[in-house]
Amino acid sequence: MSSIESAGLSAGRVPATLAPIEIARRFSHRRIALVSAALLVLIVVLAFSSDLWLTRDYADQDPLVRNQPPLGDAGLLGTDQLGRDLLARLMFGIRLSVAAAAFGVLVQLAVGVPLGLLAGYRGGWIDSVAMRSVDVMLAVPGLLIALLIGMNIKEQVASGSGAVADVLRSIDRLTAGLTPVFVVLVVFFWVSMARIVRGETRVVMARDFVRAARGLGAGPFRIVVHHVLRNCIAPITVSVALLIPVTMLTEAAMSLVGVGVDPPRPSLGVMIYEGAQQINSFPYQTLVPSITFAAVVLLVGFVGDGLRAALDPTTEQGR
Amino acid sequence: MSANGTIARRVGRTGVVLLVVYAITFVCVRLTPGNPFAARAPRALSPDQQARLERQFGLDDPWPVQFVRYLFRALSGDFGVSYAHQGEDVVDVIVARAWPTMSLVGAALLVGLVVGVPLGVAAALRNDSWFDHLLSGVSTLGVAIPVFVATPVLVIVLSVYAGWLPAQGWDGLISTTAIIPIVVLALEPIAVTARFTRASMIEVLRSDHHRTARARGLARRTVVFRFALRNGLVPVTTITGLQVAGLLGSVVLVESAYNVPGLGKEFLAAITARDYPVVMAATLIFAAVIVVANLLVDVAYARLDPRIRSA
Repeated sequence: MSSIESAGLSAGRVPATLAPIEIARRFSHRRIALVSAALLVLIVVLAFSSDLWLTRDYADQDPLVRNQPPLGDAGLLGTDQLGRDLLARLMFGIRLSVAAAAFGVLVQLAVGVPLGLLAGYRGGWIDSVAMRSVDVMLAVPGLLIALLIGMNIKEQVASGSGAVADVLRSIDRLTAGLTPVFVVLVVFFWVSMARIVRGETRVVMARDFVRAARGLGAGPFRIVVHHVLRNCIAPITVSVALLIPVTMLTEAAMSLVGVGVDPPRPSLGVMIYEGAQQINSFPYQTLVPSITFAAVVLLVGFVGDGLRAALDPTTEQGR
Repeated sequence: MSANGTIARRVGRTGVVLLVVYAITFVCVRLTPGNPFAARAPRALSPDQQARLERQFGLDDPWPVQFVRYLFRALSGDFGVSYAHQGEDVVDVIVARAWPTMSLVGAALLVGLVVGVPLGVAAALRNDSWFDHLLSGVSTLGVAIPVFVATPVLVIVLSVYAGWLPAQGWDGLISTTAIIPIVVLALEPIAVTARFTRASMIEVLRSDHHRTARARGLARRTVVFRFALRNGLVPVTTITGLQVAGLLGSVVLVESAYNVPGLGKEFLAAITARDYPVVMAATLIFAAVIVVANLLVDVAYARLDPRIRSA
């Protein structure tokens, strides 16, 4: 990857010299990003409030209204083969996507950023170990390892004995069955953030104002928080936005394969998979979650593109 | 450092990556609770039978012994016996399913290059035109839509409604069954290749030597295709190498969604059936393909770009 960065093509490398108010103004000029952000907020609010405005629960089965098409008598989006309301299931699935995305962001900020700062600031063997680990993590078959870890955690929770399994079981009760997904996010999602922040830190550390600050007697904490971190905000924001779709994808793929959330809880991945079993007779059952998932991911992508342009002072007006 | 030194170091790193993948896989599989034999036995196993089976498969040794033994056996090509395919050698299970997977991944990479590069060049030549903007929007779409969404959507449109293509299955690479999987897998390579080709070409077209060549009266077509493209495609090699890792993940999902009897579908089946020997072997083979692809890209890169050799 280093060769890409030297070619100046890396997505995250953006010099940060814009004031927050200026960034907000530039973002607001990007109509697509703004509309996408508004739609996302709307979708998230609808999903998390669905218990208030929906009459049926995602797990309620009704043998009288099985496989009803959308826009019919049985709800806006119809029902699945067990007569469960697809709209209720869709809303719950979006909640799981949002949960995975939020946790992925947390991992990036709470693990990736500090690690990158430490490696970039201290250098030496910490830097070497961290960056070799990053190289290795970027070269492993991610999805396969994720599924393997998911399989392991799933079995630990289901039938494991010992302290580790007990801890995992109590986490699983808290996370409503998303533990395998969360473990995978912890394992993988610090990597690119650590690399980006480490690179930025090295760049900032070599700048004159850092040397000046040090000459004036600023301690490491002040330099890292006041100078380095502040200059890393743009690449951190862009990286977070770009990785949110990947976290949602991880959750959906793991659940689809059966090492994510447990039935009857509907992940969008589970809905796509279950619907695909009846693709010839009732294509809408897989089409509805598929289009929803693609739309949400695309909206997040548009917001990310908008943020990247707004944060990059080399583009005019953030266009 | 010399070119050979760089390549030797990269070969060393490849070994480290494979060892790490092996360690993660080993830990995941060995520390998974539950008993693979008890789950398959028609009736409850007596403690005596259980102990005999564990001895037979070497599961009663301390795990460091198992770790080293499996490693050395794997290096000599012995991956053990599958639990799910009764008594079948894991190598046979894998070899029988490798062809559909590798041909799908190879075809998707090829389509990605053949479609992506011209699109990227065209967008770079018409920088900031409507075509450029359209391509950028479409490529966001290509990256954003995951394969497990694209597969059912294409099946619904092209198979269920139009009836042009089969809805699932595999009759070999040269058949109508291969079209939907290849198209689905190629979406991201096309989008990423086009994006990188465009960015790289724009940079080359702005460079001084390009301007000089134009100023000396060489035709635009000559300059673009004889000089700019050769420079502009160098970063694209790196991207193509990175695509392999993504494709080997996607192919697992596409194979299971389109019912292609390949390695990916077998891997998922093995995960579900807790067929540990197959899970371990499949993961290692996928990892090996990825690191070898990255190594080849590094070597190609060093040959294409003289600056890397001295770096």
